[in-house]
Amino acid sequence: MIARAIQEPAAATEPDESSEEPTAPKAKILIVDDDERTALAVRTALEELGQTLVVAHSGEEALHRLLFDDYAVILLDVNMPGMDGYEMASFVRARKRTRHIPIVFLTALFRDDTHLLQAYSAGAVDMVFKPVDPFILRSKVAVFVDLYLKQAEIQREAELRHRLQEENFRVRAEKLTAEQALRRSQEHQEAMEKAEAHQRTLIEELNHRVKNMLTVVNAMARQTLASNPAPEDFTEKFVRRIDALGRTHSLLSREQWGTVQLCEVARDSLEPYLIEDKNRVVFEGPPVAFDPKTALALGIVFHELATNAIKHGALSNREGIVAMSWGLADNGNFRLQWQERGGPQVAPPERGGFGSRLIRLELTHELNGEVELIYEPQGLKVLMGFPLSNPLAVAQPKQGLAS
Amino acid sequence: MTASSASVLVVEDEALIAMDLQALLEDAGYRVLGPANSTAAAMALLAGQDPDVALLDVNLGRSDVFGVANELATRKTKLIFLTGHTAQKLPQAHRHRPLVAKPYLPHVLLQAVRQALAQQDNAA
Repeated sequence: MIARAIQEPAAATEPDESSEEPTAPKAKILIVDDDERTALAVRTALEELGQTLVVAHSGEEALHRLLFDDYAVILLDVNMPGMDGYEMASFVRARKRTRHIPIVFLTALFRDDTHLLQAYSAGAVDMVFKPVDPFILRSKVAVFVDLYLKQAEIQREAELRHRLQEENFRVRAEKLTAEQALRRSQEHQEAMEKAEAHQRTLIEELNHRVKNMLTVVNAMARQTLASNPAPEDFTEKFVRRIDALGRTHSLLSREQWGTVQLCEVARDSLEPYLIEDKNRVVFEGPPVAFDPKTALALGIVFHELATNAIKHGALSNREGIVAMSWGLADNGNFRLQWQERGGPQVAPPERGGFGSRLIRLELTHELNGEVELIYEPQGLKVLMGFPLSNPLAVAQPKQGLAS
Repeated sequence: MTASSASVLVVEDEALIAMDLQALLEDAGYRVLGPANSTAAAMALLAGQDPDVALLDVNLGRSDVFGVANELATRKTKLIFLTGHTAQKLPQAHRHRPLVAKPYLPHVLLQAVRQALAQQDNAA
């Protein structure tokens, strides 16, 4: 036997519904009766409710129907061949998915207490007697339909609220993720810009230093030439002065332009003149660290003193020595003495050459200090003093000798 | 005004460059004021006199020469900047002033001094 679902013609109402709101949900009503006439009568009575009517002609067919759909109410004939109404009702009550569906019994049986009791104990919520009064039936069923639709509405709203909430969470999470990504990208961008700016500063600084150094080399060339017009003299002196500058730069580069030790500056500056005997220059003084500016100035001074000693002073023979000693003076300045001994007898030059002018200028102009060149008969003595940019650069003078 | 009577203030912290500038200017017949190695030293020199021209190295160690430049801008002294940087590094107030780039050529430097003195003559 084929069950027929009889649908209300919905075509008239559907187009009026706005597109955002689907057609008002309909309740399904299951009519179970083996008798075609009763089924038709019930259907006719209920059509007016505008719900979906499903007819099953046996208990088995009705149970099959219940597997696939939810129903607002079951109108169940008590007396059917095969599975009767009571048996079918007990199946409906036993199943979890159908337990809640109200059952209204349709019965032609006389209204005696036995039947009523059996019907209610089988799970009926109401009874309707055949022949069916369409008005009474419609009224009773309308109550269950209404109840069903209200429950469905409540459930739909709850689901909608739940969906909206989830959507809200999802959107918020996405927004948060996007914000985090944006922040990370901004931080990255800022770091990149900072690094680029730093690099630009370094390049500008390097450019400036190179140009300054070229200017120094130019100045060195012009001033060396002024006191050494002969090409061979000029070349020798100029190249050696540039070499001395280069040596101090190498030393500073090794120390990454931090600070350098005084004896290292002296050793590097004097090295080309002490190849034969390193013991001819003696150092005495505490360890002291100098900034690049001071180191470069002293490098030039040591070079000028050494070239003079080689040509005219203690390093011009095989016996003479140079004693360098240093420490802190009473006024807090750094003092450094260059003392030559054992060289040929010394007389003051008639006029200061470029070398001695350069020594004076490095001490006064570059280091804000002072210098005295004393031409003693046993050898040249140079007394230098200048303020320290960092007085802590000098270790306490307890170490004594430093060679 | 003749070169021999014109005075040039030199502010340059690098000893060798200062020495070279002094020699170049003195050989050309100018009277050199300084060289000063700092703003403080330059201000001390300026206390008693107004030089005709000031040759100012922009970078003085960790400091700069603009303190001196601002002071001289209020006087009749003509300013010339000396720098390894470009003019963009000069403050707006001094950007229009002549600039000699390091490393300098002696004739370019002396030309700049002559032009500054000529301007001063015109203004006088």
